[in-house]
Amino acid sequence: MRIFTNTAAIAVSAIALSVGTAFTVHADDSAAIKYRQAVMRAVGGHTGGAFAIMKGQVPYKDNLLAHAIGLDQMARILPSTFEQKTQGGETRAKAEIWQDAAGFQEKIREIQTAAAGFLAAVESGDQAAAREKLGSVGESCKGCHRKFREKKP
Amino acid sequence: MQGVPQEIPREEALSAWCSGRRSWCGAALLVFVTFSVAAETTAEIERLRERGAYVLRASGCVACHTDEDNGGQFLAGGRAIETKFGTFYSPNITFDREQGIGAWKAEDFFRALRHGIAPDGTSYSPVFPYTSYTRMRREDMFALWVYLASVAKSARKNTAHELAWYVRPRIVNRVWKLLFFESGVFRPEPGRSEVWNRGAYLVKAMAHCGECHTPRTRFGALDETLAYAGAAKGSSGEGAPNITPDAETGIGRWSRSELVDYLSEGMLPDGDFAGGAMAEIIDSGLAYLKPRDLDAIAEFIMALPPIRHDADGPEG
Repeated sequence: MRIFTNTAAIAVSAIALSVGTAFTVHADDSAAIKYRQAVMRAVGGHTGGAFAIMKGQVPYKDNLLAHAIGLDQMARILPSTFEQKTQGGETRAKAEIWQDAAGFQEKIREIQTAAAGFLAAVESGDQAAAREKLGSVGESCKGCHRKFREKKP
Repeated sequence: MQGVPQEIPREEALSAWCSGRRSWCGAALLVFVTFSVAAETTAEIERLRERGAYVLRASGCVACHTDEDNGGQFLAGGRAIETKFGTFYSPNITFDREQGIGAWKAEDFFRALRHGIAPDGTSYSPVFPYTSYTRMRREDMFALWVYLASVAKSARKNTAHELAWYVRPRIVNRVWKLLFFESGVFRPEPGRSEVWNRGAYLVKAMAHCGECHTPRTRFGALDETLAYAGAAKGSSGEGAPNITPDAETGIGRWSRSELVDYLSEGMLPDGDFAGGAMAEIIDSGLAYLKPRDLDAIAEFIMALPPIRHDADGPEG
């Protein structure tokens, strides 16, 4: 009886463990995807905010530096969000990100350079340069999405 | 010497002044006249070329006629265009005499844009949007022609299309045109504003937005009952979203300035940058347009009747 209970306990825990493991792997991927998307939204939020200010659609000129800093910081952590090679799930990240790592790295460098340039221009107070650099940020987003992001279904 | 009347052009005035003087004067006159005529012609050609370059951008020629993804030369064609009838490869439209359109006469070019007819008399498939370009003004076509003549030539040979058997015979295009195509001109609507009409011209005769954003029937004709209401994937290539101002399925929640931002920069209202076919169309075309032209396009699009039609995601 005792043996039976033990065996049953082991079997139950084994099943629980395997289910748990399978579930954990999946949950990890999904958490990584969600985190990546959160960072992307932050990039988009700062870019959109900076554009609205630069185009004079909203009067918050003093906030521009915060957006520039935010964008620069997000661009720095962006590559880490792709460290986990996620497979499937609710993501539009293409497999090419990990297959063509060099090509992807180049795109990451593009946004980092553009974001750093934008921050420098905002700090220097050069409006024209800031406008141009913000344009480059957009270009870098587009360039990478074109190559490495799946179209919306 | 008699007085020179004011109306006489300066060349003639100079000539009158020169008569009877030493012979070097005649030589100087010849040089002067030659230069002033040449300068005027050059300025005119330059003006046309500039306008033509603008027409090229506004008409979205570059996205299809340049195989950018594979490092293709500007306007040398070769870009694959997937449709439900097969894969088309855009032709070389540089002025190379053998492989491009360098041997064409201007009239051949106008006929292609206006009637969809090639110099050899055969008809083009409507994948070439002469269905829109037919409305283009003659002076814009001419400017485009003058501009194309100045583009670096490419000897890239055209790639043969890979089409379904039933659209392969050239006669099919002719029959298609008989059924679904009518040459036409752009007529401004008198009841609408000048800005709206400018936008209508840009959208319908140049940018040909409807060629992708309006779904097609099984015969490949535009379904005008769903004009600009979006085409699902497969209807024409990768599909295109509803751009009528319907709040649920279209761009009814966008502001006009958001639309202008999108057309000029590619930025969606949430700060995202789309990377699909539209990004190419923006980068190689719309981004070159003057703000007032983009505004006119926005005016026209925002005034479209909203149609509820869920064709694709809001981004495309």
